[in-house]
Amino acid sequence: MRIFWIKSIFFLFLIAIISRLFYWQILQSEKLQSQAEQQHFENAQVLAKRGNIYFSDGSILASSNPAFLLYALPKTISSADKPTLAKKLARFLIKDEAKADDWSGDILSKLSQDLYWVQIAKNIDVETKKEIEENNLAGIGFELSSLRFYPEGSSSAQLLGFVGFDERDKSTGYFGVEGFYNGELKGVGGTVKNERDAFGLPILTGSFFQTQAKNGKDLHLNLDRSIQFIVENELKKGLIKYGAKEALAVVMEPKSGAILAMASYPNYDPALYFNFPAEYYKNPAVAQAYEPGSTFKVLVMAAALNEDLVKPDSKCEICSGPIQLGGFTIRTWNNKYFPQESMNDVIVHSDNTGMVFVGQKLGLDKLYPYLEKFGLGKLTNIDLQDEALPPLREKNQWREIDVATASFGQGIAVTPIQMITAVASLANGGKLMEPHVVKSIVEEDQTFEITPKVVGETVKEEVAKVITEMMVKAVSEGEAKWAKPKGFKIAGKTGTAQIPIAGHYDPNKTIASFVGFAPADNPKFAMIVVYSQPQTSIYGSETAAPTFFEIAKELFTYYKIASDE
Amino acid sequence: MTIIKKFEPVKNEKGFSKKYILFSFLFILTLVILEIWIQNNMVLYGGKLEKISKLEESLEMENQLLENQIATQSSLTSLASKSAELGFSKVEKIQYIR
Repeated sequence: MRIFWIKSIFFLFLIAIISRLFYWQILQSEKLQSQAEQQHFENAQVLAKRGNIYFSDGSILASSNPAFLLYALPKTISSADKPTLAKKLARFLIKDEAKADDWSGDILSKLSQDLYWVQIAKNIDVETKKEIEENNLAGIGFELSSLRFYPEGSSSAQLLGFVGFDERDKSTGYFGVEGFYNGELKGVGGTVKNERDAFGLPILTGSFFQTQAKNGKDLHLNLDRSIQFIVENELKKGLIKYGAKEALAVVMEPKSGAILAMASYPNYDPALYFNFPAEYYKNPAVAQAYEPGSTFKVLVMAAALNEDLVKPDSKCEICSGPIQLGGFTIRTWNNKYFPQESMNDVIVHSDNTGMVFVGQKLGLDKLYPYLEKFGLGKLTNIDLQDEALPPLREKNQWREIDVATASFGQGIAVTPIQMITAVASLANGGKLMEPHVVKSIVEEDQTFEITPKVVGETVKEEVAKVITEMMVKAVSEGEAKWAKPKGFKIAGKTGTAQIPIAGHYDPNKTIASFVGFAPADNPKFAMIVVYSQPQTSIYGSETAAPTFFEIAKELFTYYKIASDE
Repeated sequence: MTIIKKFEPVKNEKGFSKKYILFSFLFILTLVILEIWIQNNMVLYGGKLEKISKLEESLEMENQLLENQIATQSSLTSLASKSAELGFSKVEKIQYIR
């Protein structure tokens, strides 16, 4: 009997051991295996460095600074120590003592959560990290991350865009170059998994798996640092001087379509983008449509010259007074009329009636294809994320009055980049270039050059020369001649367009602009300056033109172009 | 009298001799000791590798910070304010030598 009981006990022991082994080996095997792996292996994410963005001279426009994420392991901190730790961390993270007290409450609530890991703060700089580390606080740690760094501050903000966080809390480029080239800039992160000993040191003969991180590509822009600086300074001065609501300027190299400068105000600090209203983020030079007003006259005149419908000395037959058309009265901007004036004078006087004459000569059938040739109704394909496309009305929706108003730049919408690209084609012998911000993309030892691209031909080369001469006269004899730098041949045209509000034009709210290029004989740059709702004067000749000439003066010195006088 | 040699089968001498077994044992033992010695040394190198990796990381970080400091100091915004402090101003009228 005793033997029976002993056997039974042994049998029960055997069952218990088998059950336990079954529990460990079968039921809990995956969990235990992963726990063992966590003890033996270190899994680390390797961050890919976001590519840098450089000016054309190789100086940095945007790069990355190391930053850190501060985390805590609440289960390793005793409840009694948590309030003290929260207070200490808040002092390091927020320098303002009053705010630090509020923050310590937030941190304490995070530390009190029933979690193994909590994020306390992110984007901590190296100095703050050092200060915290010197205090040897238990239960906290750091993870390496990075933060975008802009040595030129808010320079080129809207062109550049910014780096924010997407819905998965991953850094992503938004707007401008950062948004357009996010795929190239961001790179691909890697992972490292290696066996560690009891002290956490790597075992060289142990297992090692690695997926190499691939850093983002660097972008070298066409943007000239000096020109950008000049343009921003002059534009800022003009914005204050003329009391304008907004201001923008674009400088382009006509022969290549390279964007040499692009600035707009009000702007924002890309490093602190979250402190600025979201409407500042869009780049008005590419995202905002406006009625170009008289600056558009040079394009319509060029079309008529190209079709051989007018010549510079052709006489206007309907310029003796206001024109009645489709129930509307079309007047000149100053209500002065010049009967039988030449086409040259139509541009010099910026005469709306003269342009109606040109528009009627062209007619919709000939005008419409030129609007398309100059790039209206199409994206310029500039390499910036936020380019807008103002629609070009379908041909069958145009009335006679629409052709008349379009001939002097009203009732038709363009973006500043469309306007400067179209005018730059006149400076480039009629070749329309695709505007480009990025010159080359560099990946380790490989460089991808972005070559200039001809999109089409707007007018014949000889017509481009003729319209250039007309624009030179418009500058030297027109309303803005007082501001023109002496001894330089500049081709340009002023524009003052009323802003359509609730179905009618507000006479006191205008968009004042100036578009042109210089030196007229061998253009080095084409430029557009636009002020929205200037207060000191509503006219482009008294606001945008002086700014254009101030910038041009400095560019002549920069390009070492001497005055003829 | 004819002596007939007794026929005996030749002993197979191709098997492992004691000497050979001993030599193999010693060889394996040496290899085991060598492996233990190498493994021990490798553990020490693990620490060194960790140190070097950390140093590399901190030097890269320092490099990046210095590069950015240089960029800030040589930015046009900074140069313009420094030159203004030193009394430099923009040329108002340019004289051309012909």
